[in-house]
Amino acid sequence: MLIAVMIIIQIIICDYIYTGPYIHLTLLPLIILSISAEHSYPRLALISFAVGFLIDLVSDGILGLNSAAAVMTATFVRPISYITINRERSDKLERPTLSDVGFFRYFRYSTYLTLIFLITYILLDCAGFRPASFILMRIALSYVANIIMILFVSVTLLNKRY
Amino acid sequence: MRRNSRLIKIFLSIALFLLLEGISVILITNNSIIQKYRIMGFTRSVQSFFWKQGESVRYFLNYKKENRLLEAENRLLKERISILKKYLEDVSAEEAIAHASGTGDYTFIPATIIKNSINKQHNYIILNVGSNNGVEEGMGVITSWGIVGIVDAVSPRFSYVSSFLNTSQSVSAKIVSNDVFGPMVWTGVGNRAVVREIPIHTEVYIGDTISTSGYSAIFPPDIPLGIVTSVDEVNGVALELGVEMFQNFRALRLVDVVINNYGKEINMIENEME
Repeated sequence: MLIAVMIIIQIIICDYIYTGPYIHLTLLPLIILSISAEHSYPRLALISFAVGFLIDLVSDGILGLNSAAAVMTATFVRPISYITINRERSDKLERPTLSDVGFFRYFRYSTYLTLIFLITYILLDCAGFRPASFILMRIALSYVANIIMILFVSVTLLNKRY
Repeated sequence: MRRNSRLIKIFLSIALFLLLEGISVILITNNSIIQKYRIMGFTRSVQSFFWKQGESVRYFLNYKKENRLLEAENRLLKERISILKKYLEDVSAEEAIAHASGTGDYTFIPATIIKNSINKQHNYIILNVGSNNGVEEGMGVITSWGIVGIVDAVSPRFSYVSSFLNTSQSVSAKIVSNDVFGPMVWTGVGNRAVVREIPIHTEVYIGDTISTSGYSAIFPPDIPLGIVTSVDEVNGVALELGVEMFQNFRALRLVDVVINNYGKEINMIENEME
């Protein structure tokens, strides 16, 4: 239910919120973070691909961009949760939340995954057309905007048990 | 045995990752050259359904802005009518009849935008008119406030337009005050463009108006494009003019597809000479 709401919000963001050429606003990393950690990697990758493809299809996007970035992010969910949260603890959690792991661990965890998503997305979108300075600036500004949004949503929506 | 099954799992995971990424990359490749609109016909028809709904909402929200633009356009047309009326008073009846009997160089097909991308590197527009309405590939798309793009692909009911907000697209533009011309391209940011290859000795000032030159079979001459905001010397041999475009691509809805009535004849001569 929560994931469906976030997908709708993401489609609205894509279609109606213009953030300029330097900022790409996305909830997709957060949607992937919200998928239960009990799923195996193949299932997580397939769900991420489907959600990315759905967002590409119904919103203002190049088909394949979000799905490529989503699959890449899904691939790193478990390794990064092991690095940032620790293996034993993250295996026990259904999905890491702010209240479970604390602000700084959650911040690092979502930062790495957001960066993986944004780097994949922006490189596929811009590489070969835009100078490196533009790409770096876009990644940096998009990261700042997205991490604020992700933390805000995490505090307000995801911090409860659903 | 346990180790083997673990290895198989890892291998399958890698294969799945490569497969999904591969599908995504193929989709992106096809889509970035979607100028081949027909290849993606089915997907686009699904998307156009969603776009239409979205655009209706956007249109409803932009009603006031749209009305202001139409009012301004009406005012401009009234001014032109009064200029023409004055001109007609000054010419003889024979001259007026002789002029009126000819056909204009250009005909226009009114169209509505159902999809408009503005925040990509290569933006595009989908129009609600297609080959059934007489639209063909290579036709220009304009409004009273400037050029919008060039038709890249046509289906019976829709047209795919490569927007001017495209770093690889250029239009022949001229400085209105002295008719010196050069290619104008979008800078990639906002409503800003640059006119390149202007001879260094040209007298040009900030605030000068830029319009289409008419040196192409695609766009009519003298469509206002924008105002010069900066003049820079390039390698001491040419000038590069920064231009703030009149056209607000975010508020676009109603456009005209340009048919050059002599376009085919011009192309035929060009092809013969080549």
